[in-house]
Amino acid sequence: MDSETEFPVPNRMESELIKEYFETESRFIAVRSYYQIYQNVLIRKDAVSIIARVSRRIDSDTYIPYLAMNYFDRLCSRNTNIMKDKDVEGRSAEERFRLIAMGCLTISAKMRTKNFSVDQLLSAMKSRKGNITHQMVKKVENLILDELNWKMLPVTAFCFLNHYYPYFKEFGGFRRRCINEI
Amino acid sequence: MGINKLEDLKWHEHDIAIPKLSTNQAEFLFRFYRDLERVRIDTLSCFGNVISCIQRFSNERVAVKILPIPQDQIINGIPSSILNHASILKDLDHPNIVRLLQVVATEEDVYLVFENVNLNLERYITNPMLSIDTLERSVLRQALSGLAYLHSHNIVHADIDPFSILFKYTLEEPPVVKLCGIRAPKTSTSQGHPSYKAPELLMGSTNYSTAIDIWSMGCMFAHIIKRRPLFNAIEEHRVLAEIFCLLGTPTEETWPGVSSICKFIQAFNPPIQPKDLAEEFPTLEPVGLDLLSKMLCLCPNSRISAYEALDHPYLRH
Repeated sequence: MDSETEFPVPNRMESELIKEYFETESRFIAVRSYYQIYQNVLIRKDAVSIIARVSRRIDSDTYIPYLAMNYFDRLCSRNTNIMKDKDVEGRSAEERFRLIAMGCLTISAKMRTKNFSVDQLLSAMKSRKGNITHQMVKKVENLILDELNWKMLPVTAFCFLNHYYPYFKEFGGFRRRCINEI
Repeated sequence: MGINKLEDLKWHEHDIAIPKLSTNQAEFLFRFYRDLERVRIDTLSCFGNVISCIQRFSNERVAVKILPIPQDQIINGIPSSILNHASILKDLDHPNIVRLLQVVATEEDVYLVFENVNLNLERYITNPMLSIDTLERSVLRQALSGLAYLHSHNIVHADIDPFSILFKYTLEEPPVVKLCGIRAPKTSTSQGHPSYKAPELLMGSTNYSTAIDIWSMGCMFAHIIKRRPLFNAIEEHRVLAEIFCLLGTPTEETWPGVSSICKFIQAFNPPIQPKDLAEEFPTLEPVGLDLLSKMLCLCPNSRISAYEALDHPYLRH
């Protein structure tokens, strides 16, 4: 099959959308200095580990943890005092930041899965020390939503796949099926 | 003038102009807003209360939509449906789409605070003080521009009717058209008014596309020209009959695959012939008739798209 037919020239509707993605993408990325601070890199590493571990209990949809990390990065890079917020409960800094990572994950799971239940997830995690309650998750979810101004549909690298296909082609290219799978 | 204090609410219990609020909703609203008035909800699709009120801290008039969290889901926080709905609306940024200014979540409800708009199209058309004569093209162009933006975001409105096209105006400037009543992308099932529903929906097809919005917009276009709805029936099968009387019955040639959606279509033998639209719309110039006929094309795949319609000569000058 000719791969050109799989990636036709974008129509006006698609072109307008890509143009908008380019204009708004920077709003959905962590601020530049965020990754240059060593402490942030450590916190981020831990968040990745928590989100990866807990997301295995939710759904096989790999976009859920990806989305959760997007929320986490945007949140922590824009509000450096987030850990001290009264809505983030916990006895130690570790517990508080774990709760934020959980909140990011429950929101991303709700965005992707219609019948996701925080209740079921928390029951499955009950055996772990330092229990997180529904109330704590609810408060932190609302805090995250407010801080991110309810912009929970980020423009990510995935939005540009079709647009950049001709460039991939120079390096061997992808099939339509691969792009769909991504 | 709406009501201003929580205590006044109990005196208006049976007044339909005053929203029915739970104690928590009333406490929340009166803390931040004043001059509450219920927005007339004529469309079948609206869910939740919509209240027009003045924000106390900014003195700005806004429209607040209340989305209650179902009792059995309160334990899980904000439900997936509300989260998705609010995120989509927050993502939209276009001059012809009603703007979501703020989202506030409480324990039991989520409040969507929209920019305030003055009138819906139905009231605009029926108000003898407001002339729409010179605005026909401008209204259609603006509404289609908002629709094209929605379609580029893969959102099907699915509920376009005279109550979802709103006007915002000031004394100095011509009115700005704002589309409202937007729900979730593509997953939403159409519950719109039957008179504005596309034939494929009336025939029971569940596999629909953005073309259903163009049909509804075509009905709106005709409504503006005629000053009354193009199709008047309330029951779906009667609307379909009215459509066939005006535009003829589709055949496999004019709409490939129609007989698999609608089994009885082959019973129309010979098919009903379409009427001459020029006779139905004597005031509309030929170029306008051409656009109208392309918007009211029975076959959804041949129907004009929002972007193509914006490029049509009728709307270009």
